[in-house]
Amino acid sequence: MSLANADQFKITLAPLELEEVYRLADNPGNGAIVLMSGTVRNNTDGKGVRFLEYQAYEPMAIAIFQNIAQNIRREWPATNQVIIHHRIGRLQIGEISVLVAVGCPHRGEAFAACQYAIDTLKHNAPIWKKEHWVDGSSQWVSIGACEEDSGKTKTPLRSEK
Amino acid sequence: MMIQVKIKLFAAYQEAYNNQSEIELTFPENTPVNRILTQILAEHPELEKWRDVTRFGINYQFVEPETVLQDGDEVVLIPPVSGG
Repeated sequence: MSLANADQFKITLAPLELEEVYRLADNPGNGAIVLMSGTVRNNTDGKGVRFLEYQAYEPMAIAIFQNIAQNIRREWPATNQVIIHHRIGRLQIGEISVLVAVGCPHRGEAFAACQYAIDTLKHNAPIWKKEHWVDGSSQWVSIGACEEDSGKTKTPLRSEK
Repeated sequence: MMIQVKIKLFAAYQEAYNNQSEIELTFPENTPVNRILTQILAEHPELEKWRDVTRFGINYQFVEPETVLQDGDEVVLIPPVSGG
């Protein structure tokens, strides 16, 4: 029986720690940990990005992370751990904005659950990023560029709306 | 009888309100949550582009636009999200 209280969710101004997230996902019952690291890219469609600024509505974002973990446990009941850490504030190129780790007995369910988690986070978590471009202008990201990415792969569960 | 709700502002909404992260508004009973958006867009026409893409949250859950406000609700206007 999986212990849901092994899950951990965090939104923080501090740099995210790869090793910490991996350690939190670690479990003797795991045969696989899939860890997704989202990083700040230096361009959007070729337009140079200087840095990103993230905002979150923290209590609701955490509630969405909890929903994601509940859905994962429904779809992949053997899941041992779901860890989601998201950074906010000003992030430089190459920095980590999000870490999602899922620990499961087998790699197939770990890959699937981790992809479901990051795709659903991108669609539903109340988190916003503003791109500050090299030309000095800036804009809140408004169209689902990320949704187009994830649209190529099917998520097994309907998003929460 | 009037009700008071707290409205959390983010991204373009927050900037339209001089970077205030929340405001409080008073409405008659039986007001649907999308009435908040109507009022905010009337005050800030520059936000019009977000009208059809804004979702609503009440007390940390997504809700339908017709959901009736209750006194003390914490409402959030959710323009397109871009986390990750």
